[in-house]
Amino acid sequence: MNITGIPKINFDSLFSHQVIFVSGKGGTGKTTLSIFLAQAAAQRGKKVLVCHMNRLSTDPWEDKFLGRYPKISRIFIDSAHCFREYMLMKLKSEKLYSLIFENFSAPNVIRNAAPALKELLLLGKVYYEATRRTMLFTQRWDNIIVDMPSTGNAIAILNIPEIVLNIFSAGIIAWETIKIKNLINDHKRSVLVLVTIPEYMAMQETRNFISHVNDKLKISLGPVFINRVPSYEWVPSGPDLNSPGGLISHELRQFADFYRSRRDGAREQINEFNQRSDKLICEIPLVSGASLNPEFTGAIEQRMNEIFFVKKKP
Amino acid sequence: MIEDIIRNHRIIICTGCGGVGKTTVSAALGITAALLGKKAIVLTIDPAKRLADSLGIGDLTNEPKLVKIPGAGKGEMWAMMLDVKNTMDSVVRDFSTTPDQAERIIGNPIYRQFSQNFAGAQEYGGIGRLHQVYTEKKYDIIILDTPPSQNAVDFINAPRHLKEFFSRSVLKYFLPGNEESIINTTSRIVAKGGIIALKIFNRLTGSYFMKDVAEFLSNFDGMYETFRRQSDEVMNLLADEKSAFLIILGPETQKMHESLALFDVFKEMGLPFRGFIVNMCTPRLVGDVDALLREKNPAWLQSLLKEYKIQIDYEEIIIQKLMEKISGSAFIKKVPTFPKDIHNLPVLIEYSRRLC
Repeated sequence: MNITGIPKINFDSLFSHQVIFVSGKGGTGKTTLSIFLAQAAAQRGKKVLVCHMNRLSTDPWEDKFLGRYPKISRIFIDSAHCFREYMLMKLKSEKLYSLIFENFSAPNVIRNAAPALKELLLLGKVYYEATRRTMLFTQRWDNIIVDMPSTGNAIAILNIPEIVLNIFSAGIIAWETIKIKNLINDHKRSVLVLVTIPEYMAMQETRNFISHVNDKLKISLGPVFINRVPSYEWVPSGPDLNSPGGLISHELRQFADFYRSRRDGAREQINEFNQRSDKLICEIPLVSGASLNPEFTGAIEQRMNEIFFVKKKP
Repeated sequence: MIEDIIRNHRIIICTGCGGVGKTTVSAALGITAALLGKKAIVLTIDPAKRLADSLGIGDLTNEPKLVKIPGAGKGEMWAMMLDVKNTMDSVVRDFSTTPDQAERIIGNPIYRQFSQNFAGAQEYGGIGRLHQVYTEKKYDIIILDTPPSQNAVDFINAPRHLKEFFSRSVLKYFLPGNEESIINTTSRIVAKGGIIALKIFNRLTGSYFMKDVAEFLSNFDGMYETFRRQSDEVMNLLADEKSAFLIILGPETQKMHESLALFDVFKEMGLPFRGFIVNMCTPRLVGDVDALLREKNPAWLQSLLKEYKIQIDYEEIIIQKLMEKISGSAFIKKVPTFPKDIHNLPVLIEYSRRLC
């Protein structure tokens, strides 16, 4: 299979970043990409943490898939848990925590109603995991894959340290925010990768996202993953669908045309993106039937392996 | 069936995870409402400007704009895009007791940072604008395209959170000179907890911040009642029988799980959920795919038919799971993938016909 973009992307250098933020338009496959990135890192011998932000639910397939990689751990973070964890760390007493925060409503209200704090807490958790050490003082996680919310919210989250520092001039929050900001903006340690699909609106949004990151944020921007690229490479390209295998009916010609125009439309979007952007891209082919289909895991995994250049186990 | 939803409701709230065509569905509902002779407004909170794109009418603003729908007769479709900052400002102006108070709040640095930068501002702004538009009573039906938040729950909870935020018991801790009242109105332990919490917050945020917050909040003096009332009204409005919550999704397991979780939240909160719209389903392209697979076809066509069959079977399972969940209490509408990119009005009208 010919997957364009591969020769240009060096995945080892991508995984040299400890924190990999994944975002993109809603519904393009951020979670799926996060999981495959984790797999690719684990196959390189890395200890990996996948960190899902504000997810309402999980697909049982994900656990089944990741269960085969003992080096991958997974957490679901939401602000309520982060808040509790952070406060416990600061207060060092469960009793005190429940005295203050469970019997008393004000801080909960602040937590809910001041969303800037919510987002900061999520980043704070990522920072905490990134600086964790093992008993032997080595890094607890070689890679942290952060499965972020979609475009608008992701920008808000990445922008939060800046805003917080505009508001808080002193105090622990300000000091810790500076540390978080330094981690995010360190081009050696953190990178943001985007995922999109080859459709007009999604590509448009991706271009806007990229220019926003370039103009307003200081985080390093990695490759763009174009997910669900319909390759249908076996559908003939010529104007006459009859040619390769004899005559086909009108119905089947229309059927084939549906897929052909989908494929050609996607190709057009990708070409246009390439013309207007210098970002490296990596295409991930569309696999029909997604996760309920038992053949799915095998099929997509094989394709992902081709993409990530992972040597097959003997 | 979607026409009936439009006929029988005053507010339709389109929710769902990202990338499923919420904005397009909202616009299509607006068009259909107009074609049914209603005066409809579509309220979108999408920062990606997709509604304007798909309507092909240039920029949308915080003020409603009339979209000409051919054949709508006396029906009208209006569209507007929420500008979070402007909405927040106008809510403050509406509610303040004097113009001077409004300007003080809007000029406050904390307000300026928070009112436009944090993600939740979209939720608060959306709720505020919904309330404004509703109380104007200028439209027969309001269609709300919820913010592209990972979980729409934030949006639904926004009025409650706002109410909590402005509840007297909380504000007391922050307003100057109120320490005594804490002790008067709450038990000793809680009061003690409150003071400790304040001390901790001071340590966390620096004492200037707490002073700023206190100042910020005291600026709102006299408006709390209005905010609380508005929050109550919005909560009642959302739970009203004349409101309809729809969940839009695509035919994928991940989206299905998220939608089912959302469904549970609606149920738990007693919100009037009316149906799932499964967008972007594979259209029925051939009659009997199994029969065709048995025929002797070129190899490429055979692969394509197999691919097609896998996909439609998979989508069928998703629909089945949704049906099991709702057990007849709401509708499920499958909408086939639209063959064209929807970014102008004629195509959008074509899409609405297919949807409704």
